[in-house]
Amino acid sequence: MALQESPLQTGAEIFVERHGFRLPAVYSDFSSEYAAATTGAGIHDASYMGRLKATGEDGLDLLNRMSTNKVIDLAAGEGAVTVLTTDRGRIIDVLGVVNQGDHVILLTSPGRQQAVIDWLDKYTIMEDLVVEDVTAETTMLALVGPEAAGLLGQDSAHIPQDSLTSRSIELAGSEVLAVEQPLGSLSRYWLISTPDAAAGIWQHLIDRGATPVGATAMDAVRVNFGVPEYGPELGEPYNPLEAGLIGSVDFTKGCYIGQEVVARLDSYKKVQKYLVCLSFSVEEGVSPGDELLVEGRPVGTITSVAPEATCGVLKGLGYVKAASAIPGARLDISSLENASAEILAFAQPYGPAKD
Amino acid sequence: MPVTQNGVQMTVAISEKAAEKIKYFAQKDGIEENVGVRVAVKGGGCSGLTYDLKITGDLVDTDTEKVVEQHGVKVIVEKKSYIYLVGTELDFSDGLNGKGFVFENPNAKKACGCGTSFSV
Repeated sequence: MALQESPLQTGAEIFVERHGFRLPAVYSDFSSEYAAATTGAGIHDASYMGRLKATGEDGLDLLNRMSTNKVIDLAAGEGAVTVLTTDRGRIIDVLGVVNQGDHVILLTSPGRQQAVIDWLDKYTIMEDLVVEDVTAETTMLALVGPEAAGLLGQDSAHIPQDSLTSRSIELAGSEVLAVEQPLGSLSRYWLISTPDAAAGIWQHLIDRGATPVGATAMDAVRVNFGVPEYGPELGEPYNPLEAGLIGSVDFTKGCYIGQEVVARLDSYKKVQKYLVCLSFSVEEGVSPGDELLVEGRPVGTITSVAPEATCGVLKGLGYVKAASAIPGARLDISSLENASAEILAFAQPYGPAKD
Repeated sequence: MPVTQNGVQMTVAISEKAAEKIKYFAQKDGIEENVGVRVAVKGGGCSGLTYDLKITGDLVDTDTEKVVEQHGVKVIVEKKSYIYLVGTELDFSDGLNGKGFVFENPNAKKACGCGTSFSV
């Protein structure tokens, strides 16, 4: 895919390629951007995320039959995180499903739009459903941080981590669909608009106190808050229970593709490995792909490393065999003799198992 | 004689026992004429595709549905579902361990434990 320029690059001098987009790596400096997103409000151009529009009476019904979470009862304005899985229970993608009344919006991982369309299309037999990719004809900003709700004039009520809510609001004279979807335990709003309105919305929020956040700080937020990404942590090599997506699995809603496998893994405690949040004893030199060891034996692999240390601590994510995935445990790192990784917690970005 | 291709019967059949059960449930629903069962395939279920069964007394829409009559019951199949069901026999398994209506589908390469979902 050709690189697409982020339209919102004011002040940025260093760029990185992410998901086929050329994105500002840093607008001002890493530390202040990270601080804004985690303690104030950071604004980030997240247009690289996939956006699908599903039209037809059977959208929620089909999605309910094909994915892990219960989406059939979502009222207009409500949403849920759900996982499309193969019949072997492997991850095709993690979706944010938002009911808009006359249609359903599906938020996909970057670049996964066509794979999701193809998967849904394969099982659309009699259903009234048309799914179209509207990524290129919309812009999506992410407003992240505890002050995000206040900047949008919204109540800062906490919603469950596997939930989304949406409402139409007006910003800088333009109609915007504001979709609240927590980023781990952090407040986050997706702001979806037409591309020509995005620059005005971006400036409006900066004028009200939001700080532009580049790809580097946003990567650090994702890793530090234990949110997996398609590629390093999500995809067909993994099932939702390994990937910490248990909060987006409804074990009582009935059948969906892959349900039998996922239910068996849970019932018989057969999950082989878990995604965990890690902190490293060094501030640099750790890379995705490094093995995690116990007494010289490989027990896991590092999948993501934050681009920089925050508060003097470098963090990451990794898959560790179930027997060694114990919070508090220290593991050696294959590429570094005098460094170790501590397991901080299981990564559960959509919360723990439902009651 | 039914049309066959490579030994597979090119139609959807219903066993006598399943037909009797359809008639029984239809009577309980107050359906006395055109007793039939609409069979369809939908996306979903553990293995990817799942059967959808509805007892009906409605007339057949010949533009969108195929119909076979056996043992006094119309088996009505929506045309889009037909390719997944060609050669299938609808049977009924009763008793304490019975599964109720059962699809013997030669197109199914894999089925889930409860038997209501399959893949081709």
